[in-house]
Amino acid sequence: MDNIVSEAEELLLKSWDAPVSSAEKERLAALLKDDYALRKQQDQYLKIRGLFQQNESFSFGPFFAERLIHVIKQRRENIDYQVFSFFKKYQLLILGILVALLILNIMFADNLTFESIFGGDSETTEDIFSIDLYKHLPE
Amino acid sequence: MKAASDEELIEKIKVGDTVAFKSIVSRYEGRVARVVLFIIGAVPIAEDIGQEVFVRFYDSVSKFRSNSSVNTFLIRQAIELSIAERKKNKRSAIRSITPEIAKDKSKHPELLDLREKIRREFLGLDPELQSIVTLRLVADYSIEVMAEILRIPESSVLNKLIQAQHKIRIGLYKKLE
Repeated sequence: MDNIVSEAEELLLKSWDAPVSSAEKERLAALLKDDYALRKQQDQYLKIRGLFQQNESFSFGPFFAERLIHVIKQRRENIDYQVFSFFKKYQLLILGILVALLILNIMFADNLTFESIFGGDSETTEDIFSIDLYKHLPE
Repeated sequence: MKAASDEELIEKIKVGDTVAFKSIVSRYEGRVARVVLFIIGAVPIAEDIGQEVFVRFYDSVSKFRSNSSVNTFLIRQAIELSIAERKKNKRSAIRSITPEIAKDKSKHPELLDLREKIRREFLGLDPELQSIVTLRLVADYSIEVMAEILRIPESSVLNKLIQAQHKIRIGLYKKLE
């Protein structure tokens, strides 16, 4: 029973938060005039709402904005540090991989020129086409 | 001198203007604090939540469109984070909204006790009803704006607000009687 909001109670609460028609206003006024329980409820609701709505000013304390900017800067520095420390942590491994790749490249290079080792060989599309298209043609 | 609009400040923040960011923080700190402190009380974590609200804003400022409301974004984040914190620390004691309330108890003990009792009833509500009560009665938003913040129809907002107030009243006065 306690969980059911009566029609009169609903109208009373609605009148504080949403527009009500003039007919509803009149009906509410009549209900309040005749119904002692509803008047009591009105007092209780007003007390509750009043305590929620107290006009105190709230803040997170002095210099909140400054502390906040400090936090944002610190978070950014942490992210930068994490990226830096990732590379620092794995720098030997990364260097090892690069050296291994270089050695493999030297081992499989056609000739030991700088261009062939570091991929500087320049082949035109004509060179490639000539290899692909004419290499296996019947003579 | 006319204060810069939110849109103007956002454009400045996008290019790294910290003064503009400070202006947004000082403009909305009170509203965010009101919501956060009401839901979780004056505990040290309240400031962390407040900071997280503004950090989220700062991180997503580049995606902000000119028609987006800063206020809506911040209050939505404040409610989400505060309710998540309450859920995480369900067993922790319910704290006063401000430490001053505890200090000033001698002035109006009945009123302050009643306020804390109301808050206990409020904290017993479903998170969705808590959000609705906070937005309407604590942060003073209209039903229309609340519908926008919560992304539900206005009629649902109104019905849930009625339900929430009814539950608080029944819980409170049953214990008092």
